[in-house]
Amino acid sequence: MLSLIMQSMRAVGLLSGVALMSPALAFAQSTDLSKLERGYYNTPEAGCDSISSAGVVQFDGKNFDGHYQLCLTDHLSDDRYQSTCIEVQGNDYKKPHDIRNDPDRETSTFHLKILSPRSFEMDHVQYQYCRGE
Amino acid sequence: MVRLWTIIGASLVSATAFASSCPDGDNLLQNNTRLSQLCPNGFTSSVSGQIGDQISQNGDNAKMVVAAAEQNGVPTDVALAVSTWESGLNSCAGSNTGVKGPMQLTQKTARGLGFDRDINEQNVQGGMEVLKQAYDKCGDNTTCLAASYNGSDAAQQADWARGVQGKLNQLKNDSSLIAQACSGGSKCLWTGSDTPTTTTTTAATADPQIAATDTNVGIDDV
Repeated sequence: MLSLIMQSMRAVGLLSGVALMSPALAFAQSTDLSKLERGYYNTPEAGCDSISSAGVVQFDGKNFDGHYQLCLTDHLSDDRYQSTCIEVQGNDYKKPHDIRNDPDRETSTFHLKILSPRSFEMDHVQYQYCRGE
Repeated sequence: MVRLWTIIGASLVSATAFASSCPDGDNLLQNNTRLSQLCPNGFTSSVSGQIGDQISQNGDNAKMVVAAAEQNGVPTDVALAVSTWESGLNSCAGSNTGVKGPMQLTQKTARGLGFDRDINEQNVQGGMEVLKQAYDKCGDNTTCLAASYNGSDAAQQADWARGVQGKLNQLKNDSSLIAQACSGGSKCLWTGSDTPTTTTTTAATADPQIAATDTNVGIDDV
């Protein structure tokens, strides 16, 4: 009887394990931004105590914005993306219609991997989902 | 001769007006240290730790924030609350492509005020001028300050206001933190009482003129 219970428990354990693992198994790493949830992200080290301090990345469904930074994100090839950004603070903080023509814009390229719907890796730095917009 | 005395007098008035009770901070603000020089390994997105630790680890920036706050008429605790929240007083807080420095100042804002955001001391000075404009409008109402200084979306402004208010509460409840900030750990005029002390400082300073003004300057700690 005991062995039957043990067997049942093992079976449940295995099933639980499969259940826990399945989302990760089901999600193949991707570079497709549509697979990433909108919201605020930060590194695991920085944590999610704040969404308004240095290092927070906001993903609006298409673009990655930084702290005091508004960006347009373009897919270049494979896992390579380009960000065209302007810095904004205080009363400047309005999404400009045309970041690309701003004289103070900065462009940078980065490598991106979508690890799960709520985590990604940007230039080998991992970010985790903190909260929605 | 009269003209000479006028010039000397004007210089003394000027020095008196711009000196804070933290002569070390006043002196440090005269430097021009590029952030790239301070941060050879780049910039960090991790801003964490308690205020006391942040002050200990970034003593020079803490002194400069106190000095710049006094020079600009911003209460010391408000200035420290904003800077500790924004960067943990760390010059290397930020990202390689975004805002950076102790006050997380944008280059555009800095340029508009005649500063270079990428120079540490000017980052503090420029940030303090922005904060002064915000403080004149808002007092220490952090929700209002969030709109003026941070100005991002509603969620981030609310988070910023909550964070800065938390820092401000800590600074108001523990007077030793401000003393620690303006001294870098050992020497400070501020005693934690409501009335700033006017005792002559013995703090070492390269500028005796600035030291002489210390007897007349108290810390506006709100």
